[in-house]
Amino acid sequence: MNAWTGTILRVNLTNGTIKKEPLDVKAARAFIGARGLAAKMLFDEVDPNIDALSPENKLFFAAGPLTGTFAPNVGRYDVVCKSPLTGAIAASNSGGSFGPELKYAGYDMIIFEGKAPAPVYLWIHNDQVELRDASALWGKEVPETTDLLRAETDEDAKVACIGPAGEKLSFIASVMNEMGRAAGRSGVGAVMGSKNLKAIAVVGTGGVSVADKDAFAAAAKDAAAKIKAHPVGGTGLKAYGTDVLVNILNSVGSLPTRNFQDGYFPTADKTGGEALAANNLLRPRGCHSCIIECGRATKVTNPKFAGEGEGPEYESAWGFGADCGIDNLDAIIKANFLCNDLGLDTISTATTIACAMDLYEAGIITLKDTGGIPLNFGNAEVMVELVKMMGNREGFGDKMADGSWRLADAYGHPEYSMSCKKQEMPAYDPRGVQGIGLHYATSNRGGCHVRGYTIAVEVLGNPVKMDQHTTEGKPDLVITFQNLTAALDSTGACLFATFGIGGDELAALLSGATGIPYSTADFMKAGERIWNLERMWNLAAGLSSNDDVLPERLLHEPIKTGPSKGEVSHLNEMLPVYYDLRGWDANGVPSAERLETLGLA
Amino acid sequence: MNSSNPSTGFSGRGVASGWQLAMKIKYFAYLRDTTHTAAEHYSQPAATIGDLLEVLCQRYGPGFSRWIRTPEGGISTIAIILINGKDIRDGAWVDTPLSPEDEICIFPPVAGG
Ligand code: SF4
Repeated sequence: MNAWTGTILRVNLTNGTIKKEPLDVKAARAFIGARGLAAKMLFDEVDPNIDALSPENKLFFAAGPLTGTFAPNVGRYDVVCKSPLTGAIAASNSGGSFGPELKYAGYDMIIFEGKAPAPVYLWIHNDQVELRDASALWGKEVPETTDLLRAETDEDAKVACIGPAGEKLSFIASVMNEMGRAAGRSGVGAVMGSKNLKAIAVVGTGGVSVADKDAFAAAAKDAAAKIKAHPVGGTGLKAYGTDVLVNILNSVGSLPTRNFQDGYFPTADKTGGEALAANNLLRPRGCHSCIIECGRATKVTNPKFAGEGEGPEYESAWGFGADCGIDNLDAIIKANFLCNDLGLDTISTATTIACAMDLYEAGIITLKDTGGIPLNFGNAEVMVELVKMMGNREGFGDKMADGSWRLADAYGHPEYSMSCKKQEMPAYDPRGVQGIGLHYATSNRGGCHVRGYTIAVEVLGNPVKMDQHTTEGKPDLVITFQNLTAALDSTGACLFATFGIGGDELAALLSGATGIPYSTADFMKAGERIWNLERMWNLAAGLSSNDDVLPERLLHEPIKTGPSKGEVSHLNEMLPVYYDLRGWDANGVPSAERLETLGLA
Repeated sequence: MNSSNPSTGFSGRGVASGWQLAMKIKYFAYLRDTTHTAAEHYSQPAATIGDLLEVLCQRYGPGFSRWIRTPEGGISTIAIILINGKDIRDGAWVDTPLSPEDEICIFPPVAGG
């Protein structure tokens, strides 16, 4: 086969059987691969009403048809399952080289079923696939697990694993690959832990063939030239990383501060990409086939927070920074390193800490609850300590390890959780940027920015600018971004490639690689199909329009200071328009006609 | 340095003398490589943001203007220029009038996610 390898690995952890199955070509054509195809298989195979941490859940590691090809920025894969955090579909996307290596070993996807009786890891060396005992690895953090597995298998093996957080079933545990890259969101690490699956190590020596070499090479060359020529893709992300957004969002008054109490943090500049580049950056780092290199290899020398590793991204710098009222960049970086080592999602970890600080300052939790730890906003030492406690479920960290909603709900105040569908929102205040609030509320995996990154248009003005404060045109914008991203994720491409290329270029790459002629319209329609399929699964899992909401704080408490002072989210104006444009009824249920059009009836 | 240079109207920290108020200009990312400061005050009247950007491009030269201008000489539509937190692309663009108490933020084209 071209682009797709044509083979899926199905691993039953309960009885230890490993099967190789042919890829369903018709489904692959309609759902592309990675996020889309895994969602389709989850839809077909997994009862949406199961307990996410039961053996009945399935865990998909899925690469896309472009993953591992020589196109630029196509090194990604998705981890898909039912999420313990949200109860909705989880699809967490990660870079590095794990996805390409899986393809080079000959597989589009691995499906894990059941639960191993004791800790195991999966070792894949091309055709040879075996489950091995991982009891010696259980309890180890991500770097040590990775090193030990490389020593035991192959020094070039690409390793995806969980840390202590995933083993201890933290609802905000990530799956980490190559130590510093995360399939971070929605607690996919806990699902891996619930299956007693510590890691996957893979070595592949094959390649990925493409259907039309000339057409694909031309499309890849065109995409690379456009990304390189773009000021953001070509230079900006490499120089400053995504953390350059701290100052931008703060300057437009939409940097959520102290658990979204405010949208402006006066000392944010100390935590931005400029400060990071000046003080901590060792070098930029890129995923497989990346020509942008937004990744940060960083170092902290301050003995209190010393360490070396990867990050932080903007979201992490904001979460451990402004959202916790902290402007100590060394502490922020240290917290990021700890999340990577323990296998915790940085966004959910940071915002759960911010939530705990808010509850503490409101007097809802006290020193008695925290074991004597004062949780005031701005306390950098405590923030770093809490990350360790959460990752290991120690002391009060145990209560925090399932995210902010469970924490706040346990004290009778779920309204303090800044989350959508119980997943923590990222670093853009929906009161200051209207469209992103609509996206958070409707995102199929809960609070998340990367499934509908309207910030590109509403704040950055890329490729066009819309006023961040207006609601007009936003439902349309959100839908376009959600559909485009669903299709893009499913190819294996990186979202940042869109700072240079769009649907036209991605459709050309996909056509050249697969030999199936995808027009731009076909490509976008595939995205819409995937979005609606995810929605249908969520509805079957018991979610409804009652879950397409934002925290009350964002609807009723205006931003207090800064350029967006006085603003609230106007979600309720936008949501009915969004449903209507999607072809969904007033309850957010896709109409039979729309499903028919999408081939989902 | 707390007083303005009378010939240029720029000063470092603090409010420039000779004018009751001086607008604050904040620079970000690459722009700091040429301005060598994150913020400064400017006390000369500039009627519009377009006028001010012209002054800044003259003052800081190609190392600054390459991020702000298009090859054709206009102002880049993907640079982010804010007056009191409001993006000029949402308003009167380069014709947006300025007041002495305004705070201007200038970002070269950068992004993240
Ligand atoms: S732009 Fe960043 S996330 Fe995307 S492929 Fe490159 S390094 Fe990875």
